[in-house]
Amino acid sequence: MLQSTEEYIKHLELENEALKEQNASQLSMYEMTTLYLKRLQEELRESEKNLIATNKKLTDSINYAKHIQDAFVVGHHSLQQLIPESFILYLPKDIVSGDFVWTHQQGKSIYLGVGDCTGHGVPRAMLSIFVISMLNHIVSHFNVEDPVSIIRHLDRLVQEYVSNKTADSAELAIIKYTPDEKTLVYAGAKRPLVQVCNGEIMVYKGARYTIGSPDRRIEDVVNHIIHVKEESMFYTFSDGYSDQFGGENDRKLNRKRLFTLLQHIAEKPLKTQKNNLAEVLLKWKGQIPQTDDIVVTGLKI
Amino acid sequence: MEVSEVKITASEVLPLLPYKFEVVIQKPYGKVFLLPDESILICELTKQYVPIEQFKEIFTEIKPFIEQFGIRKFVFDKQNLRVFHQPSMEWYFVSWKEEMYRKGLSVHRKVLPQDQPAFNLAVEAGRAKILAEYKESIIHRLDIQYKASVQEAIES
Repeated sequence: MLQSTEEYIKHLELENEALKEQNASQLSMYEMTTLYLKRLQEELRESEKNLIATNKKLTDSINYAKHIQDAFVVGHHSLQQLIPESFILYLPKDIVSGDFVWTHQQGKSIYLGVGDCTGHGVPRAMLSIFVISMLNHIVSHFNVEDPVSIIRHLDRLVQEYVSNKTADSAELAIIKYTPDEKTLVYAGAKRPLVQVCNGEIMVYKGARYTIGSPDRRIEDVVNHIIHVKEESMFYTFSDGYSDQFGGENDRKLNRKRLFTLLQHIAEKPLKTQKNNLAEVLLKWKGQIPQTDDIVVTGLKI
Repeated sequence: MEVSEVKITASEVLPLLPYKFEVVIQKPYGKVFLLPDESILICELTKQYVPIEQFKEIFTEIKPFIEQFGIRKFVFDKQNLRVFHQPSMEWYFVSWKEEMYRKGLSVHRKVLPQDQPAFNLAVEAGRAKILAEYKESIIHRLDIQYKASVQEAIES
């Protein structure tokens, strides 16, 4: 019995030693894991710091690029100097935009271009600067008299400088407005012109042709001559507004809704029209991020 | 139903799998199975914690089988373990694995316990420590993969 008790005590002591070792190992396991997690945390903090610094550098750089882009893209006030009764709703998706407004005055005529460059982010914005520069080059170096001739020159230049290097290009609507003649000439590559007069809506569709496209159908781009007999609102825009996702079923706002809205607001003061467009868009997209760059211009003629 | 959903450890799952196997080492704290047709050895530790002396003992006894049966894949079933012992793991990684690599064993599969995040995190921490401290070792040349079940470890 004594022997058995002694053996039992020894057994318990051994078991106790084994448990002590196990506990010590467990403690050291937790210490090692804690150190590891702390090191990971430090590495994450360092990565976060680097990411914040890199992000700031990039954002600063893009903000500066925006200043450069602003020097090229026509703003609301510049457009109003040429066409007093006008507005621009210009909403870049990010800081810089692939959408742009361009104007040029030639004699008694005013040219207005509204474009939408394909691609994403900064490259898209750079492309818009290129297209604006080319438009300025065309009107100063070539004897152009109508929107189609401008688009054809632009198409050739884009093919020469851009299309063989990238698939990106631009969609464009150009209007030539001569106040004295009360005529408006429009030509569009995928970008339409909408006229609202006495509550009636007329849509001039752009040709299904993208500037610089290797699919050669530039011939489809033609001048539409519009004699403005009664006061009308004219709208040109990129596809950003109608392509905005949102609403109850997270769908595109679509052209039909946009056209109905334009028809509905056309009689209102220009400032109200612009505000209505912005409000409807904001309501439509709700918490959903902006899908694309947006530009809508409105002219009362 | 997957076999691994019912049976977990090598002892439990091997009888249900279509592989010929035999127990070549049996200890109070672990077992070693030989799958001769697959040239695979599986070591299952059967306790929650195995002291380093015993750990070294079983792994030292495994050594002759590696050469004798031309073992190409070694599966370490750690599913019963709950306490991770870093010195044991260092010896296992740096000494044992290196010696076995010279005998032609370079494929290692490991099966960790399910629902034991503290243990599994300790394995990750220990492995990171070893990889950082033994940059010149052959560990980087080994094919080591963690698998969800013994069956997967055999078949991968």
